[in-house]
Amino acid sequence: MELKEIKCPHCGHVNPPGTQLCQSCGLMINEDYDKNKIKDVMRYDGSAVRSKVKSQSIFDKIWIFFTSIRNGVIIIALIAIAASIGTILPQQYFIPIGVDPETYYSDNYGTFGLIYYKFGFHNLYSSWWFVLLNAMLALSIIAASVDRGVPLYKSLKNQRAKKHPSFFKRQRITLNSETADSEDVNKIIDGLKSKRYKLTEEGPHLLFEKGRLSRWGPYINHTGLIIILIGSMLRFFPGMYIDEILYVPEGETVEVPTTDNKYYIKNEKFILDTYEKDSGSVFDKSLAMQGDLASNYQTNITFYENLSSDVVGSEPDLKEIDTDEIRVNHPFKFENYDIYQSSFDNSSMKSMTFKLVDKNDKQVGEEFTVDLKDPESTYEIDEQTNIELRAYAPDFQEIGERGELISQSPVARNPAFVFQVNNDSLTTPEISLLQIQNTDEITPNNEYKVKFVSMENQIATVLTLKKDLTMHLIAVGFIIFLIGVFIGSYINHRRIWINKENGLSLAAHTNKNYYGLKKELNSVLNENGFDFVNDKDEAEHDDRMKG
Amino acid sequence: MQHTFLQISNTSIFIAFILLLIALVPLALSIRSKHEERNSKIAVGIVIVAFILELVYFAFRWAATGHAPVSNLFEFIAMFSIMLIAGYLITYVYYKTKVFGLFAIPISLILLGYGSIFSTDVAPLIPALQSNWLFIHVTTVTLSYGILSMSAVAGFIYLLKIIPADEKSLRARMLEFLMWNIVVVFAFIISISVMRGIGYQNDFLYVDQTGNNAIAEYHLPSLINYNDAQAVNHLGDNQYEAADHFNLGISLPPIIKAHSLNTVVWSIILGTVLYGILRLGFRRRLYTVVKPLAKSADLNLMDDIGYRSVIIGYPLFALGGLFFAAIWAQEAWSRFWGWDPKETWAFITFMFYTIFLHLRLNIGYEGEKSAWLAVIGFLIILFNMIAINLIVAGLHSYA
Amino acid sequence: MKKRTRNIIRVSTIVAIVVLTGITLWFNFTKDNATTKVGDKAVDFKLKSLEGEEFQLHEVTKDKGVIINFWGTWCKPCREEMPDLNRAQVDHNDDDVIIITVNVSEKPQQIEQFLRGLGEDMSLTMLLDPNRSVTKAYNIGPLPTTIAIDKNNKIVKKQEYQLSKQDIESFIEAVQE
Repeated sequence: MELKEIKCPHCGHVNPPGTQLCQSCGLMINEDYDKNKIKDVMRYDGSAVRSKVKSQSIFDKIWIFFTSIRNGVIIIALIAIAASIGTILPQQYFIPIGVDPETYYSDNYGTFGLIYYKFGFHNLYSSWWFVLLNAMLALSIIAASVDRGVPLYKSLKNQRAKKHPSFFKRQRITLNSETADSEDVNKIIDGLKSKRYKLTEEGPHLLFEKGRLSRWGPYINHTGLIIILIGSMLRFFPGMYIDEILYVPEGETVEVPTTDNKYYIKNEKFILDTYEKDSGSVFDKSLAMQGDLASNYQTNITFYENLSSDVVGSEPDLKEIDTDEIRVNHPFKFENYDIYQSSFDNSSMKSMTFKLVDKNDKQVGEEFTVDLKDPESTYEIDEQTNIELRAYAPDFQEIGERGELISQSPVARNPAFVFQVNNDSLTTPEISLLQIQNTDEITPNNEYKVKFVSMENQIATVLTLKKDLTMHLIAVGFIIFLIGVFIGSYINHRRIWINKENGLSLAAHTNKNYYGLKKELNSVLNENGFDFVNDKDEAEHDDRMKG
Repeated sequence: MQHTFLQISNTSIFIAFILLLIALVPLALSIRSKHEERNSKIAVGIVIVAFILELVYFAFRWAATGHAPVSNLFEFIAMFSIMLIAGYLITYVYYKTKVFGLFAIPISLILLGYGSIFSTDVAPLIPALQSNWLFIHVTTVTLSYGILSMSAVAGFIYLLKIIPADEKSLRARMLEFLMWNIVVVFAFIISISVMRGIGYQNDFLYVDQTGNNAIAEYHLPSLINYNDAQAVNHLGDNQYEAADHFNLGISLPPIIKAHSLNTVVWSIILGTVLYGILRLGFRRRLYTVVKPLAKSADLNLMDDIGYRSVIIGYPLFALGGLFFAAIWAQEAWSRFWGWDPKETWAFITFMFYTIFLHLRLNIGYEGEKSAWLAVIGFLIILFNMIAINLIVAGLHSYA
Repeated sequence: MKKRTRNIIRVSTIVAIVVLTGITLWFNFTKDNATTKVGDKAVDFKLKSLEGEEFQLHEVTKDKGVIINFWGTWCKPCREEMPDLNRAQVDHNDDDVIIITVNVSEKPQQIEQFLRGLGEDMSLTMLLDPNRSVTKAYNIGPLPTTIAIDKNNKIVKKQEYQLSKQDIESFIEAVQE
């Protein structure tokens, strides 16, 4: 372990502990580095990657553990594997609303589903261990970046054009020509300058450099990632993120949750447009094969503020403050909230209309309509006749012990009615039980019959209430990440060192895309009568091919 | 008018398919014959014409429907297939490799063949899809897929060349396993096309996840079906009568698309049978049959292409597959990230290529290691596209 | 970099991450336990009874302990325990306990129909919560759920699912302490 700074025997520059190549002249000053871990000594420009300490505190030990890229990769892999587990069964967010999760998972997926639930996998992405993995990822990103970025920055900022000959030999791309004359060499210099290289001169020592920004790409994208992780973390903080469902039947007004009873919203009208079938368009074939396909649906709303600050349950004092038409992709905004059109529900019924007919199937009096949410107790048919609603179940399940109608939910999905027909001509009233597509006479030999005429569906809009103060932070983080990734990937950092003391001595390095660097160099060299550059890797490759 | 557009579009892509098939001939010849340059020029010329026709398919389908043709599974796979050709052409322009096409083009064709199994009908957009972001997101992500796939092609060629024919090792077996997978996909395409051709269709009535009645169309005999499925015959309109279709009886809850899984199982069975026949016929491992095609490949070049396609494709994937997707999701569903299976697997793909780059750049995983990783990455992309769309029903699934 | 700077960076980064992670996990845990528990303060509310009279919790708790039973006519265990609750109210009419039922989301027609079927005289105060506002404020999950609130407006007992006669008695005891 290095403690001491290293003084270069060639140029005298004092280097930080652990440096492999002298920051000034590039001489190899420290062979004692882990060659398995650092395969290309030029990756961080020969600078010390990890500052090691004599007495390692617990903080140092933790830090060093997280600077390892191998460990970082393992953390990334663990996160990816964990994420995949969450896709085996649907997460709790996606199961039907109002259903008890434990019942849902064990009913639908058996023992496997139950185990999945017990382990908390149904809420995997907010589980404590997933959060912990991401925290470790954050630490890994920071530690690895700081430990490499700072020395790299110092090294590139202070680099000199003059390099020791061993540095030249060490590079992958080299070219030597002792017979080159200065005129030709100058042409090369011009050629390189025309390729937008920036030139630094120290006498006969030249450094051509371009694209240094590319080296900062990873550090920029890592910064973006940290911002994203911070934004994601903030989601757990109260008030930062709200995601609620609003179920509003047409015509009704409901309270907007999480606003402390301050806001109410009314579903004035729900509009559903579907694509026309059989219109002669190109879509006919696919439309014919399915039910109605929605082309547009929207909710026309009125938005209210509750002026009364009375306790829960009391009547609100509503003042209208806005109206809007909420369509898919076009939310209604108030304060930090958005209300989105999510879907709709027309599975329950609003009302049913009946008529009374006599023995000859002739209608008696007027039709009557039963409001399935709030039915009347008596309906007037004509002056001599009325119909009493003896019993009603919105979602008929069975007949109870005492003959009562039992409903399995308060939602009008499968209504059943016990109607009693009272008519002046009848000695005893007639009673019958009506369900969907089925009538049972309770009193025998009825003269009159109640018949179903029509039904109106209850349309309810399903809106999503969203407040997300973290979204913009995460977006900014991701944009910075993208900038970093594009800079790091699409730009190449190229450097060419030339020593023109004895003819031409050239070495070149790039952080990636040697193919492109060679192409560029070779074109400049060839134009001026020089050979192609030597590529160490190619030489090895040729040897390998022969073997 | 729109009908004409649609016809032009369908014809274009069909001709493109044929042309790409034809292009393989001069491509193969250019590797072994004397007229190398001429043959490879002819081949690339044909590919370019095919690519232009594929662009015509795209443009005219757009004109016919009024929206970018990226809204159902067929259109998505077709897009991916076209981007593979684009990726190949870009690679060719930059590196002038010949061998590459012999592998990239068949993969594109197999994918297109696979995609055409699904409904090729045009359908109008539901409200959630009515957005410009549909086009932007899907185009960018398929382009990035096309580029990333080039690394898998390069990796595959690398492995074919470097793994000896008679080696008894894990890597040889893994390579042969890859060959088996390709045979299975082949068998799937052929069997479905045949079954469709003879009009085999058995319908089953079942109750889907939302509690509604639904009909599952089986184009292969039912081995796996939905819980309490009832065999029916379609009498027309919405009329069905009870019937007696073959059903082995394995039942699954409706969260899994049983009829898709059934197809997968059949593909594996038929594919394995076909594989067995091929092995018996050739009397050696299938990769050794294909291996000679990779003989003239330059390993360093393949390694370089493998790396560069990832370094170029990865930012594009982050941009299109994650960023644009999130913007669009926020607009359509009011949540930019919900960890649904498709998003999660895009995330996993992203993490995987992150690992690829870190292993390669920082830990020196080059050559063969990098080739294997590239192939695995492609398989993850395929898994996302195929398994998640078909087997797991949900908000984000196409089919 | 200088040793001291390096140490500061290392320590502060690690500490920051540990602390932030801890806070995040803590928020995560407490969010999951957002339902009302024994020991919580009972939120005040105002609801109308079946007869149309107004009922405010904090007014009532000035003199009596309150047992609230959340129910619906479609819920079988709710229907079954209703007579027992009624009898308990009758037995303890002179004590400073009052049992009230809060019906979740239904209109009077269904409730009156149910009561007619019961055939008993109702001594229970029957409140209506048609908008579910009180049900939501108390984070009620399954029905029936019964809560006991003492005179200090503190929740002293909570039980989900059906009550037996003994259960009801223990509620009455709990609320009188």
